[in-house]
Amino acid sequence: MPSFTPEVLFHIFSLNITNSLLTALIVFFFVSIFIIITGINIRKNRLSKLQLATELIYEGLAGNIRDIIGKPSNTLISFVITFFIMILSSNWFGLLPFVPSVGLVENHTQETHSVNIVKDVKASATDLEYVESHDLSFISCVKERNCVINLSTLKIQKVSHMLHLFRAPTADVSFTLTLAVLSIIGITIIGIGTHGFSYFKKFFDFSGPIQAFVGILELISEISKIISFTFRLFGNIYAGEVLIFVMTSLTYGIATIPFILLEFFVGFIQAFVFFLLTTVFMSLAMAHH
Amino acid sequence: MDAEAARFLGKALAIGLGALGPGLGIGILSGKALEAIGRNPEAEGKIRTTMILAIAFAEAIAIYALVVSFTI
Repeated sequence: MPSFTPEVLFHIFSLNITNSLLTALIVFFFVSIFIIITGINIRKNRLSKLQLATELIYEGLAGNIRDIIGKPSNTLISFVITFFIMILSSNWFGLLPFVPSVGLVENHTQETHSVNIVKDVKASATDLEYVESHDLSFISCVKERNCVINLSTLKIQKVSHMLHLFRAPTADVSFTLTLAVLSIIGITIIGIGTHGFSYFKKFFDFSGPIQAFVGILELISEISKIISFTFRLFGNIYAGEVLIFVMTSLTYGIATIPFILLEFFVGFIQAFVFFLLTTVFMSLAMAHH
Repeated sequence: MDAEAARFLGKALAIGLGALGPGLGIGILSGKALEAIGRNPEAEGKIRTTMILAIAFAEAIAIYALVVSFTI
């Protein structure tokens, strides 16, 4: 079963480098390389397939944004599309075949104590010697050679545990929480940009008791937006990992492929939902109230 | 009933009851979307996009229940 929390690979001072952080950095690296190469090609006025693909993605998403917000600024469009591309590539990176299988196998020993109490045995000399040499037991002899031996044996088992090198970054609560908080910060900035600091009158309005109560409700809904953003994305991707694991172990891998295709679809839908919700909340923050 | 049994029951109830509502919701949503497509076949693309979005919202509630059932 995929673990609920990411595994810690190593520490840099007190910073835990988890496998999801490592994968996020790899995804960042590849996406940046892709965008930089496309940018260089555009500057050189060279029409390439990369440019065509990038423009296809950009125009499709920007059209969606224009449907919701009439005339969005370029900053808004790039901010929201960055969310989409990062979430989509993170979701899809987690479905690559080496992600659940590559890892470091750690052998560590597990110690289990078991206590055997043997009563009324005629302890032979070798037993007593063994017991004394291992310093593990307590012997009380009632009579000569009629002993109660409290033999606690120490079992040492070798347990191998796999430390996964990669994990889908969106299957980590801290990553999705960061994205959700960033999204809310972006929404607030857009609100301040259109209304100035009177945007906060939405939350702290003391002109009357009803307005004050509505302000509290708005504040709660802002917090619940963060929570629902976080757990919608995290839950979907983590549930996908568990689903693929369960299907693989149930059917020995025969029925896994359709579920992996389903997870590709779910990954796209979730990235799109995150993107669209951020846009809708931004348009709400820009609206008059 | 010992604590471990209660934990397993809690897990099963959390996901079982949590999947009930979203299941109904997704069914109603797709039914209405199909009706809409039947009435206005030209708008199929737009209706499908909106339907998938709404289904994702309904599904998210089941996912919350799943997360809760894993953390119990």
